[in-house]
Amino acid sequence: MQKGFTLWFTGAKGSGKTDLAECVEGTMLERGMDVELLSEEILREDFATEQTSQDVLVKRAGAIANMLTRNNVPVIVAVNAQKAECRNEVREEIGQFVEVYCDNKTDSADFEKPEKAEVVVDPEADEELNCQTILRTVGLLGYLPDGTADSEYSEDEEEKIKKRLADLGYI
Amino acid sequence: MGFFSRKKKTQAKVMVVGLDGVPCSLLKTFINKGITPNIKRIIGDKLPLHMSVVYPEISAVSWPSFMTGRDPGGHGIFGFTDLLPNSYDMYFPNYTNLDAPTIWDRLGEMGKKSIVINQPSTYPAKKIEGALISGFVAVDIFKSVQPSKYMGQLKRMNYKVDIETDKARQDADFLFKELDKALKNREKALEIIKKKEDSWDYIELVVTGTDRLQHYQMDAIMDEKHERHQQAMDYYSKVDALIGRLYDGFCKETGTDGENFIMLSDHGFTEIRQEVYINSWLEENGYLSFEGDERTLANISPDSKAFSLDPGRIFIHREGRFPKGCVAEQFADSLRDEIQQKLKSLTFDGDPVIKDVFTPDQIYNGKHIGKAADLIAWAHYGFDLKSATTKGEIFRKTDLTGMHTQDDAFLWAGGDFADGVHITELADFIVGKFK
Repeated sequence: MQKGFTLWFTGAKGSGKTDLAECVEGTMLERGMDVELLSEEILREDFATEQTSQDVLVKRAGAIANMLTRNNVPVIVAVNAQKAECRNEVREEIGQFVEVYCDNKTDSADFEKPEKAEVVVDPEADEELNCQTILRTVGLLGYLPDGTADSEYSEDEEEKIKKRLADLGYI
Repeated sequence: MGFFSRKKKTQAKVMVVGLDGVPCSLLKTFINKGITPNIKRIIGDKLPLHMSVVYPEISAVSWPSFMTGRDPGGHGIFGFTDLLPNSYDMYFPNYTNLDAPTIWDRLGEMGKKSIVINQPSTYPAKKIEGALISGFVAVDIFKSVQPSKYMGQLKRMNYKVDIETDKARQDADFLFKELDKALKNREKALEIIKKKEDSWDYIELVVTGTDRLQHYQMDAIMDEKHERHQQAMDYYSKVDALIGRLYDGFCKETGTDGENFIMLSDHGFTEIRQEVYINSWLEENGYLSFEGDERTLANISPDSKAFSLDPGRIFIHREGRFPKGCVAEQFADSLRDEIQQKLKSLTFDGDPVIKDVFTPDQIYNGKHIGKAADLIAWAHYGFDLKSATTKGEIFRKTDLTGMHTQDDAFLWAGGDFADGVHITELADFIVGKFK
């Protein structure tokens, strides 16, 4: 059974959190994990109105991530959570929490750097390599299932293919 | 021209739109009847050409021939199904079995980036220079997308790699709804990926809904009085509208008149008159029998001389090639010739069924020619060759109304192509634009 955990991407605005989060999401999906992504865009579209403040949005992200995590759904969060206190509260609440700090080496007055992030990446570095670095840490912490996706057809896939070919009259 | 005023060479960009199974003859009818006004606008005076494809004329074989510029002897895929060596075990050749570089592989070597959407015969998806979403016979969305970073977005937009063919075959309303959804998804997927990729050099988008519609509703397409005729025409109009948007976007982005915009199909289509069960014919003519009640190739009797795989491929049951093979090498060719001649003389209501029966050396070239069947039959229009081993008549009809054709695919492209162009000519043509 897969384990729930929250993979929280932290960094100043424009530091590449969402792009990297999507890369990690894709790799997890490829491995057959039922992962969900809560990006700034998704949160704004589905869980907020124009009046929703950033602090409230971050709290909501934390609450949803908590719900998914405790139901064994891995969740990736990529939202502009500027305040360290906010992020630490979420960490305390959820427990199975891995923070990825996208350190673009700029000092932003609005962004409070994390004191302890499990992974620190340079968003200017190769995206694939960063993705692998993150997944290696997540794996070491025991959150990833074994093995990678098989490129050959499983029995179940073969049956689906047979059915589809038969539906179209090819076999 | 002054010393410093050399003309700057514009970087080539190419866009290809594939319409799976759309016959040239039908496309011309649509153009004349105003069903596809965008295609009419795009082509101007230059009508689409009739294009021939490989044998057998199915997407699993034809698209790889487009992608690689080689016939099955060169790329290694001879059908939707094939047999494991020295065995009767069937397997489904996939993208990992394709043994030749594709257009995008070659462009990748040149540092060019490709975005390929819904390309049949590219499952499971491999990493390419750019992005790839597999088409038919993809079954798992998470194995159909590279790079994987696009999987989440495709999952969230409920992207489907194919329509639900079982339900679509039974329920025409469902079919048309699914076709519409799929068409929108292909376009949206391209938009998402184009937005994320910082550049592109080659884009290819394949619409496979046309093939699905033609399999299930070819009678409705061909008969103006059919109750679903207009619904079918509406679908082609939607495909046409998509092509219009893609073309206009391409011209705008490239600042050209669309000279590198290409449209094609991978085979044609016609109405089914009869399905023709080759294994039943072999059985009736004493070449094939089964042991026990289960009529599968694994239960082929040791004295069987030949059997067939879809569509129209006949294998001599050779010693050494198959576990129970009984035909010694010195007799194989004469048996093959005998079956070839007999099959050519097959008729239905006095009409010839088989147009030709080829040996591999007549139609294939390349290192994989040894994997080919001993005979590859090509039927006249209306006769859909099948190789099911279920007991029954040679000639049968099911609810399927459309079948593939080999010589009525279409091509619309620049270059010096003429009617009768072959699908294997296109890969070099496209790659050549970037040299």
